[in-house]
Amino acid sequence: MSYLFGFVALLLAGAIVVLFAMLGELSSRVGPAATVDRSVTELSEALIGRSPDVWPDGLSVLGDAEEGLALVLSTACGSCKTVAEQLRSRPELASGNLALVISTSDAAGADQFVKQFNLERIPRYVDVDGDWVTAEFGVQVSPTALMFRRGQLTAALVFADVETVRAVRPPERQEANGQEETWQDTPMTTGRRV
Amino acid sequence: MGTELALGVATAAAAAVFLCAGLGKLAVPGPAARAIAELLEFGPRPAGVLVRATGVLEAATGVALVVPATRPVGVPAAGVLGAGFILLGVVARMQRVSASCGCFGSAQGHPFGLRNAVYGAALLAVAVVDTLVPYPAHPAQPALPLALTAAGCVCLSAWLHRALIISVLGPRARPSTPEGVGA
Repeated sequence: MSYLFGFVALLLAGAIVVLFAMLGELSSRVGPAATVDRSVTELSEALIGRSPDVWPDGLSVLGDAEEGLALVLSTACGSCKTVAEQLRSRPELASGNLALVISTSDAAGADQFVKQFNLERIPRYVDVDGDWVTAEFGVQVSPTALMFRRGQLTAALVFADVETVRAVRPPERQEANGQEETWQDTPMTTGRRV
Repeated sequence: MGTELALGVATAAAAAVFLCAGLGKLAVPGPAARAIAELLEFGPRPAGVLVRATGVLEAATGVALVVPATRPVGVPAAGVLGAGFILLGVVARMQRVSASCGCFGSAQGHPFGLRNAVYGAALLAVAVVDTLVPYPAHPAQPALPLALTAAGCVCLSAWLHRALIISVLGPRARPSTPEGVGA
């Protein structure tokens, strides 16, 4: 086996490595954007205005913060895995007062879900069978984003893209002049996809 | 013969890692530059220069490891890089860096941390063994490490981009729809 063969093989392998790296970058820039579902739908049955008496471990950040966001993800839901993958590949999306409510039929499945998508760094609560989120907020759909202001639920949105839902601003309650809550800079209405 | 083969395979594996990492960083320096910028609090430009320089060094080390004439340079360079990865991994873990290391030019993957330190330790171990065990002056198959490294590069690259390969060759994903909580 001559050196020439070895060097040619190495050169070809190097070209394949570079090609894969560039295709991977191209895919990360173009692929997901072309297929991502950017619709956001308000969940009408959610118990807006509710504030839990006691926050479970992992979600205390939502009770203390001026504004917080909880993403309800189920380990058995395909869309939730897409959302988890977004959080894994773009860690900056998990910045701020963001927490996860991981709904699962068993705690071991939640652990596996967290490890699979490298979600260890994000505060989270494992909600077996979704009992807590259903009882507290009437949420029975995932993935759902729960927006909080000072621990009070201000909006519940069914979504599929974290970046889109993070750009949504929660409604402002205008209690002083008696008006109903209004959405700020958000092209979304109850029960209608945008 | 057995020792020579084992040493050759280990060295070729380390060389493949260095080559994939180096060429990956040179082709797509952005993810590693973001990680370095977060870790060392550099601006984007110096971080990019540092990543490209590291990429050149890694690729050169990968080749030097498997060419007999350049092994005396390649082995210490591999050791220094391995030790550097250990140091960066530990520091990244202490600072709880959230960005992916971008080691192979991909933004996806685990955050910069202890896993990188473990990989660095493995590369350092190969360099130490290569230093302690004398490489034969006239190996039976002199080009075998080069061929093994080439094969290792292809396999490692395919593994690193398996999601892309599956998405291209596998079945088309169905549109996702909301599902029940706890389903």
